[in-house]
Amino acid sequence: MVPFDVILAGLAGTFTPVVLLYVLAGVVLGQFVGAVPGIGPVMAIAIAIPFTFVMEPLVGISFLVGIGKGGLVGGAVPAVLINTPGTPDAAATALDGFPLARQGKPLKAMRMALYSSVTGDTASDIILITVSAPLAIVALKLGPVEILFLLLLAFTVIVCLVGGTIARGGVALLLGLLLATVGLDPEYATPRLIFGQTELYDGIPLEAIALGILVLPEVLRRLAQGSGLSRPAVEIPAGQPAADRSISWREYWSCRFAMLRGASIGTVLGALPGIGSTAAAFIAYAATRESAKDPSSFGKGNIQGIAAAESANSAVVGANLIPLLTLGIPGSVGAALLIGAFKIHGIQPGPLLFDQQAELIYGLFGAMIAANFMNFWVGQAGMRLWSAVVRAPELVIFTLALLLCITGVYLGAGGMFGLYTMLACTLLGLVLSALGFSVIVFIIAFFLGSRFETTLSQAYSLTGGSLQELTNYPVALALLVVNLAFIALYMRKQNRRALPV
Amino acid sequence: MKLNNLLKTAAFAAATALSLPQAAAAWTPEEPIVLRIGFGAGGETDTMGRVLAATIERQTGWDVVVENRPGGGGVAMLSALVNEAPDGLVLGMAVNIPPLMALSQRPDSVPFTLDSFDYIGTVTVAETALIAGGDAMFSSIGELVEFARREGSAKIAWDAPDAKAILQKIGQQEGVSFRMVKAESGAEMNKLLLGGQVDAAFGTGAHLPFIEEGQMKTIASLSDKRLSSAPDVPTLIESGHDFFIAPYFYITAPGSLPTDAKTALADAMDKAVADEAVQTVVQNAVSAPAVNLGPEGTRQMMQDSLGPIGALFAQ
Repeated sequence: MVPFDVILAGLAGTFTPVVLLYVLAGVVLGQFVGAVPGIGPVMAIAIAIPFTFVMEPLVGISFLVGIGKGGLVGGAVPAVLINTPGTPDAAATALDGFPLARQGKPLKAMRMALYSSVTGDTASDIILITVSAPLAIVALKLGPVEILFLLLLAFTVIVCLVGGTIARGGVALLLGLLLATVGLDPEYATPRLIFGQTELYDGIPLEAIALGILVLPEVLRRLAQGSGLSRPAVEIPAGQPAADRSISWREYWSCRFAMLRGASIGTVLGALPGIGSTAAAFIAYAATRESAKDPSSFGKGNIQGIAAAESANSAVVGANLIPLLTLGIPGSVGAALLIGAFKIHGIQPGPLLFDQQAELIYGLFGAMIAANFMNFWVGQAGMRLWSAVVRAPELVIFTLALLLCITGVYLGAGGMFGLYTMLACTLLGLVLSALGFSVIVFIIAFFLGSRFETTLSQAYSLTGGSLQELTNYPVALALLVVNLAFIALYMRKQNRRALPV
Repeated sequence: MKLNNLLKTAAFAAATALSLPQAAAAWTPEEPIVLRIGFGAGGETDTMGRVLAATIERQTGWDVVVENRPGGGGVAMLSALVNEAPDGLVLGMAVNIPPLMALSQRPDSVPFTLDSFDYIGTVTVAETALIAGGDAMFSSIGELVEFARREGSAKIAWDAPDAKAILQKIGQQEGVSFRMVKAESGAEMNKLLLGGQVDAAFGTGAHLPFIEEGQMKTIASLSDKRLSSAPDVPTLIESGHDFFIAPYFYITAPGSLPTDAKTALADAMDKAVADEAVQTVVQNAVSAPAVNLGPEGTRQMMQDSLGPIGALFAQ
């Protein structure tokens, strides 16, 4: 147990002007890069890491955490305003955020996203600070076999609830998994589906596929139909009543279960390495829609949908640090970069961290909570800025977005090659949606694909390929039963819908 | 001891003082030098490369720009590097095992050979250990083999193909079954070991805090020497298995560099690797000291490693 005075000293370390200033700078930078399609907080963290070498460890790491947290808030802005999520994590937010903005209530949608994001983030930070050690031990006990069945359950949930029908969702899922196999196979380093392109050794760049599938189709669609310079990208009716601009306490409170559900799902998935915030957002969204009295109102501007998605994706950030700080295992790309930052300063995340660096860790916890407050205030101020920006003509906004996508993917995904890949992905995205396949199922499958493949190969090696050995893994079998029950229930419901009695 | 170090430093300073003006007069880059790192931003190789680049900038006044070209453990970067002009303005940083594996296993699929490059120097050589849980019933490679024989199999997590191949060879020789479980990082190997899902794993630095804590122990050194973290634990070679792993991090350039450019770059690199900031970052990143074999030493190391790597992967 860490002595109380060390905890206090650590927290006191947070409340120095330098640390607070860098947290603020990180949050501002994070919200900005999150809101601008094409760059994203992960790339911003990667670029910022070498600069933190000259900083004190607490300052440097707090700065990076600030960028990550700001990015999750920022990503929701373009998702809501112009249906182009700045980061894939915010794709679920667009489902209800954008329809609400289209109804002339973009500020209401952005506020709901901000409030639930900060709520989910704070909830998972509190869990990190109070019970990370026991949670980490539970996460340790879940080995590859259990994770494999958890991933299968996640696939089922997403296919059934986001994919339209099981058949359509299944096709989108398989396509996403197929694309994730591009590159060197992890076991023998044999090139697969690269057609002689050495740039594809590490697979299709994430940036190219996220922007190509999620952002560019919308940008191109809007540019194609654009009525030129006259129409603003987002119209806010003049003399709008306050209720359409803000979120009342009553509305916030009505979303408490959606936020709680989102924060819980985000925390659990965040504590398990490799599943990630995009999946968490969609699963929370789907769960909230299914448990609502009026599921049909989702996708049309229901604030419950925004609340579920945003609280879930933000909760992943704090929870990602549970395996990182206690075991030295990164739960996401952003967390992996943080390990690099710790190492530059000669700090090895792991079991000794709380003993040897308790002051630093509690300083970091303080900085995380401070970052949540700053996220709130910077977000409030930023909203006015963004809503003013998108009142500019559509042609300007979407041309700019196109330009940013091109720059971002050029920088982040290997130059012209990244650009060509992004264009190919755009075509694929357009074809998929024209044929009625869910691009969202596709992209989640792509994101989880390599983890799925690794887990599958691990589970195969661990059991020696024998199904009989599965009986040694009761948790995995329980997950399989839940999975089958979910499919059965879903099919029954579908049948009832199809055949009204 | 201290005197010895002092003498070394003095000799080194004298040597660099003598060689530097000469080299500087002969070759200075007119444009920024680009250092392409064969791995993604933020990782260990990237961190070491960026600090090395910054140190060269500080010491020589040249501009050194770092670019990340991830893919195939550096093979993608090297495949593009061979096509660059050999003017000393484009360099690459890689780890030797992936290109050596590609050259020995599928030479037709890579557009380079070892002679396609000029070698500038090495940054470090990482140390690899075979590790197990603190309360494991075995403490040496021999006991691990016996454990696998008794239990039917032993589960071992790996993240580098050469380490996996070595254990598979040992398993074949001894006639026991090792179930090799692929992990994506040292951290993930720790997780599998601590969670009790595997019996042993490879340690490349991330495991050291757990050793200190007593939650893990070192079973064998996979390096050609004993490990700086576990000097009492024998190497595989000492235990009668003639295998070792030496992952060198090195800097290379397109072949046929002008001699003056090569000399200047090699001098700049040697001075940078000796720098305290680089020493610290390397030690922090891979838990091993910074080591520069120099241009000829690096070429020799690459040539000498090709045969053993090929033999390791031969069926």
